[in-house]
Amino acid sequence: MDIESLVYKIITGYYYITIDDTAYKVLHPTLKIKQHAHLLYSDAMQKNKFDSPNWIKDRDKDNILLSNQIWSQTQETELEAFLKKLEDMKIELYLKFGDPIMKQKIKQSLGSGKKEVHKMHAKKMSMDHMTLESYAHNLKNEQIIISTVFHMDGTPVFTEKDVGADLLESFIGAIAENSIDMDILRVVARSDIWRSYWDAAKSNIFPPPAYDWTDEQRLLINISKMYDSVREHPECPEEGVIDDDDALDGWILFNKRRADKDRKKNKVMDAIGGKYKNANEIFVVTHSAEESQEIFAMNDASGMAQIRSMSKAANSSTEGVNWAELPHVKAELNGQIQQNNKRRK
Amino acid sequence: MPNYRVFFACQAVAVNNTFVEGAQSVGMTTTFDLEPIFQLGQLDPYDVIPVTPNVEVTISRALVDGGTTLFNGNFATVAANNSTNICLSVGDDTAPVLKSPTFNVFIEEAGLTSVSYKLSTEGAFTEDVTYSANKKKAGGCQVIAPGDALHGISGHVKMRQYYNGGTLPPPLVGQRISSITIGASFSRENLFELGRYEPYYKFVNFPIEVTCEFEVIATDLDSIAVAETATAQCASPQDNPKVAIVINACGNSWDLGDQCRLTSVTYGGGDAGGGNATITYSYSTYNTLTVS
Repeated sequence: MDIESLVYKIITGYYYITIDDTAYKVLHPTLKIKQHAHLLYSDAMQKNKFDSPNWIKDRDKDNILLSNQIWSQTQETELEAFLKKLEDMKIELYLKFGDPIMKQKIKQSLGSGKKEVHKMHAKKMSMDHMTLESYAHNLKNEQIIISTVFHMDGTPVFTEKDVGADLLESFIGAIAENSIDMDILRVVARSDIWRSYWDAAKSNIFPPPAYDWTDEQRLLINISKMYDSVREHPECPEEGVIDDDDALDGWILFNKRRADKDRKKNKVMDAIGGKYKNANEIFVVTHSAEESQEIFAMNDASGMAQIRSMSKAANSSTEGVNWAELPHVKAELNGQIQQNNKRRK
Repeated sequence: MPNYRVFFACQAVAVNNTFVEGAQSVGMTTTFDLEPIFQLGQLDPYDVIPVTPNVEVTISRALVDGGTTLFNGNFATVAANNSTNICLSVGDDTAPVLKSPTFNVFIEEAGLTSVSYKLSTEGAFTEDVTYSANKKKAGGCQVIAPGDALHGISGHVKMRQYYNGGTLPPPLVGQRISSITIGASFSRENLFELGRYEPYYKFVNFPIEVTCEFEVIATDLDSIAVAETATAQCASPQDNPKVAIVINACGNSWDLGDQCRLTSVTYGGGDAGGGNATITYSYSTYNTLTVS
């Protein structure tokens, strides 16, 4: 990957492509061009709103996918579960980052998991190209390309009256190949060459106003700010984690979930008042299964382990088990004794 | 023990085998104090004596129409009672009504250590009671929520319209009362005897102060005059007379007897932000509280 050329491409806001041995200059669309193209999108949507035989509507699309056994609610649930699993794996990767064997295993699982999610998305969207939204979206994209492609001498390749369909197709393909996805933008944001610009001027690299920035410029600024925030965080992860996209995602998710959990915990504690501030066990009445699951989820790993061990012990005898005999209480008491001994020594 | 917390959801609580209606939350604190005994010639303890563990359970509930309070009766009988059994159950978190508990906590021989009632214009009338005990088990009891498995039981919680007067001290007569708080807190001490590890009784330290606070929306400044009045020698000042307080809430009643005295009056609020001015009258008495 030629990072240097990507950096120049993003900073200048234009790049060159070659089609049939001819070089062209492609500009990133300005806000005005995008606005004009969006008008075409809205116009196409409006004009074809009642032209139902030609287009599949979103709700009909779901029925077709279901009747052809391509996509169903069960698969939708599976996809959600899969995405959640991917998040869990990223967190696991961050937590096990220091263990090379585990790291490799998790990376392999993540790789196959991502492929599976990609396949599922492809299935889910297999009818999208037949929808009115997709048609209108294509019109918009074509208009953007028409307005942003130039000959090397600066004259436009397309005019309003002369839009060659074949040439336009070639441009659509070539521009798609040249688009920079999020993963590559993250690599660019971490690169020394970009960081030398970023550290020197931060977002002043691009002249204001921000709405004139290209999509790639805007995204690169946001990603760079994210890396700055990570590095300034009091619990900043090691550099290896920052350089690994999945592990860094895991670190962000880990902190987000922890913050969510704390927020929920504080909300519950506020709701039930300060009367339980010293309580070891808190029982909260809930009104739905989701709320109930949220309450249980507020426990950390040791809390969940305690619930399991308490339930197991309690169910082992009809008479009940004395609290002091519970495994976690015994462990706590032993810890207390050892602590006392240490202090004495 | 360190203050880690375990949160449980979907819970039912029973006191003396009776399902507590309107329960909102329960908090439990268990303390095990250890006393190491050392001997000369070694650093490690010779033995570690566990001091009787203590469990404190606080139940917070909304008062329900037609229901009784957890503290029921007069002070003397409730204070003498050390044999309350409390059972907490947790079940399948997807079941609409708790019918098959998966985990239970059983607290035996508990005694009441504090009680508080709040009758406010905001939200339901509430009762908070705290029990103290020395015996706590995982399992050994079970609470099944009453009613059918889909909908449980339903009723009405008591709100502001359920307050129906009572015997109020003179400054409160004709006032717009916005909240009443009644509270009593008493400590229990263990009594031990030789030949037995656990205490044979937990007695209440008398006297017990019972407090009652009335918050009213101020329509005037508070009318309590305070003056260093000249009192004749060998006579008692009569500035702060004894008053009777009885509060009724459509089926529930709190009788603080006729020996209550005003302990403070606070005028507050009425800030520049548009808040209402309020006056809080605080009364207290000793060893008298009958709740029915």
